Amino acid sequence: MVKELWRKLTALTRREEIAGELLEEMRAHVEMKASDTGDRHAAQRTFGNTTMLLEDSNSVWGWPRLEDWLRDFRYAIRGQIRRPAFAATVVFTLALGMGATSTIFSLIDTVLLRPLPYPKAARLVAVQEMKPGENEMRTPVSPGRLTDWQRLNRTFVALAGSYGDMLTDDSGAVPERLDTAFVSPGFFTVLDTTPALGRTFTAEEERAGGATAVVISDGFWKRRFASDRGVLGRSLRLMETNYIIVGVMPPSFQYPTPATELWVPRQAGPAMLQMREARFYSCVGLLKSGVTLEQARFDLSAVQQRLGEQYPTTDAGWSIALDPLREELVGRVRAGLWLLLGSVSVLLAITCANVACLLLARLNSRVAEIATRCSLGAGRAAIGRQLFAEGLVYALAGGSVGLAIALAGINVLRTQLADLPRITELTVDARLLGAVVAISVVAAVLFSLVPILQTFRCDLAGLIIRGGRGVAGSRQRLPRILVCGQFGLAAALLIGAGLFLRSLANLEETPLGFHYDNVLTMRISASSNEAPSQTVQRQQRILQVLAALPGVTAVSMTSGLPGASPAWPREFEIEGEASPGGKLRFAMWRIVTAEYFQTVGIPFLSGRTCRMNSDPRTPFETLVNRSFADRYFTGRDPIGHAILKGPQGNTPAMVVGVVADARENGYNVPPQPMIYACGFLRYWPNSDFLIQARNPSFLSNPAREMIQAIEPARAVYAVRPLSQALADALSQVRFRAIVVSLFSLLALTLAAIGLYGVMAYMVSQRTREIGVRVALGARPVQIVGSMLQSAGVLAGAGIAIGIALAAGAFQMLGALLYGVNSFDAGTYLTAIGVLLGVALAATLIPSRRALSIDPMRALRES
Amino acid sequence: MRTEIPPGTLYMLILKALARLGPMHGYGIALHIQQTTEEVLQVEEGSLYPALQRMLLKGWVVAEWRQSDKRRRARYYTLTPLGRRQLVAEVEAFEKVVTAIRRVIQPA
Repeated sequence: MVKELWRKLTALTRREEIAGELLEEMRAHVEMKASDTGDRHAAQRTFGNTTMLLEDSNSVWGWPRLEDWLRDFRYAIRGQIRRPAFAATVVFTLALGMGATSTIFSLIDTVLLRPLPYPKAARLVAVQEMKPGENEMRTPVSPGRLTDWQRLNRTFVALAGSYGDMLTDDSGAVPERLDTAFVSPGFFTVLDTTPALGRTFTAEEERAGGATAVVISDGFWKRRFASDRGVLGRSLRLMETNYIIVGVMPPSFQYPTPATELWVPRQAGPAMLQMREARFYSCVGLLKSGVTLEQARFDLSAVQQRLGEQYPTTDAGWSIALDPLREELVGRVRAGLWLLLGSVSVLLAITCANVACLLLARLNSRVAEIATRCSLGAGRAAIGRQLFAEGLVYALAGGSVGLAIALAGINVLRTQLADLPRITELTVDARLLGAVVAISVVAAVLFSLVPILQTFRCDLAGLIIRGGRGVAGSRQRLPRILVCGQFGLAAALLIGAGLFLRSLANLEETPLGFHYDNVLTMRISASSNEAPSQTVQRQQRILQVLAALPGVTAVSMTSGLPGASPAWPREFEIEGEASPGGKLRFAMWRIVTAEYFQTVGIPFLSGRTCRMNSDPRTPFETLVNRSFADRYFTGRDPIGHAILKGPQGNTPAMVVGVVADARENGYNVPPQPMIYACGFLRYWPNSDFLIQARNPSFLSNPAREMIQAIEPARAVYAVRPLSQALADALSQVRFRAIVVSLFSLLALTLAAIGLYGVMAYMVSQRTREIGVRVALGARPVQIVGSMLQSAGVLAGAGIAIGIALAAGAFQMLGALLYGVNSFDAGTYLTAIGVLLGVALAATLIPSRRALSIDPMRALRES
Repeated sequence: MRTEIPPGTLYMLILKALARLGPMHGYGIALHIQQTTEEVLQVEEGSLYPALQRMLLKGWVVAEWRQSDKRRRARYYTLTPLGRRQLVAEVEAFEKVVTAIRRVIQPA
């Protein structure tokens, strides 16, 4: 068998030679016989039909089935080349649908569906604390509680915590800021990932005062050490201590964040292990095998209940929240991603409907050809095979272009959605390829199925008699339904796009209450072992240097960028005033320097800005915003009162001024009561410097050089205009709006093509009728009117369906909208207007052709 | 009387002819079959060639161009060992069938 196949394969290259030899051989046979018998004619006669025998003999070396298919493919491709515009339309339409669908499918698969890249991912859970009284307000976990949970639970293999920080390493040529995760003991036991190189931490390295060790990320290893396998045993200089590199994690290990470059054990001493009110550990636990989420929740809740009895002041009323780790990491983006998938599926449905429409219309023009083939003896199988081959050629061509689109799309997504969790796991993989191929084949079957069914339903002989008019039936039900559906889906997408665009516009136009146009922001690395007074001197020095740069009008420091990094709610008390009902009162806190308000242009309503004092022990002065004054000092002047429980604990901080409200917490958060405490940020690792100048973008290099000159051991990073930071904060909203708009634009184009195709076909079918009507004196207006009426019915019905669809779908997406109702009349009306306009345009062109029909010719031709 | 050859026996006849004659061309094979059966079995001469192509593909014979006796070029077919084994198998199968048929038509 194998040898036979091999002979057949080797014969492939010399098929002509074989045929030639056969012919020669047969001729020799006849001649030998002729010379033996002397009767050439008889010799030829008894030999048989040479042509048939040759064909029969040659076919021994052939691949009949395969050759049939290849022939059909050749016909299909030749047919496409003959009608380049039609083929391009079909292929491009398909490519768009497949490309967009497989891109978004890969994204969803990566982010939402695939297990996290850890060996026991299914058993990993995130644990948080839940605040008493405040519903669903979740916080990280305190070290004391983590230790107790670890000791008392029965359902976990282990629990561990981590928190992010930025550390400066100055062992290299230039000091560098590194994204670091401080981890509690057992962290790597929970995530159970083997390092790519070396090991994780030993108990000695996790104990307070033990050896200092660090595990580095794959990215850092490649970037800084050029993947040198000899990196183990070398050290980084962090916090002025040498940390020995003991391990390198694989690239898939991205917990707690994809940006994490170092993991350092948090060598907690006894004092820290007893902390119950400072909550900073993001806690992750590994369930014992066979334990359900419910059992673990029940177990840990019981443990926390007992702790509440044991520590009534700190733990009473606190409960736990337990979620699968994947949910915790990606839960917040779920709605947005499903929205994307929904839109793109709609787009794919429109694509398929459109292509089916196009192919049907094309089939109608080929009825005569098919009928002829049938009458010449082509079987149903042969015709079906030909139609299927055509569908497959379209689908594969569309699929390959679609794949190119998908590859490009994935790159766009990776850069545009850089802050999406797990986005770095998004790669071009075999599954994407598989998805495209699968979609192509399914699409091919669907496209060819419709024409095949149509062909087989009709009576071919009758078709020839009627001159090959109309396979799809004179009323064309199927294409009409398809066009109607396309309009419906396009309407839904268009309305969605309108709602998201309005949300985006609303957000961007929201008055923020501060100026961001002329402000440059930057961060400068700090070190934790600096004495407080040194820190303050250093920060003052930096502020002075920055203020001395040419063109600079104001310089300040803040604990968070206004509008881009949220201030955190924190308890406060007003001195000498019991809170009503003894309830805790919360306000947003931000720590700033005196010129902050001038730098970002927040106006003073009364009082003055604070005085800065370089001695860190002097009490802070504070300013409050208008919301705070209105809420807690109704009708009174806050100036002169003192606030407790700020950054300095129970040292009273005097209110010296009231400023206007600003959206400190971002575009979509209305101003809340806010306290600005004025002081240098001694312990704040990520303090932001703000520089106001007429032309801030020219300042980044001079500012960097200046700081490098006075602080050579510190890294200057995150240098960007404040406007950039704010734009980044809106990136997800903007992306959503752009993607849905893009999809709706595509959908609209496709629906227009579909309607155009149906109308154009209708004109060609009604040539005779129109000719008669024109001959009988119908006016152009009447002809166009009848065309518009048919189109109007289709588009109108489609739009009605679309509105119903949109109303149903976007009701559920209210949370993604801002400042616009999901039934916003303006948006709906605009969308309807656009759709009707497009329908009109798609109808008028074929109508013009209808008018140009010469009645005499129309009548004569049919 | 002339009879069409029974279906399925063409391969066997060709193989047997080649076994007797040694290397031979198509015309020679046809002649041999007609002469040895005293012209009872009539081979449609042309139908030898598709059969020979199939036998080439299966590896029962190999072909080679040579000068024929009358200084004409002809293609000579030679049995391969595989062809010889095939001949034995075909003859056995054929004899089984013939014996069976003979039993039916000549009751003891």
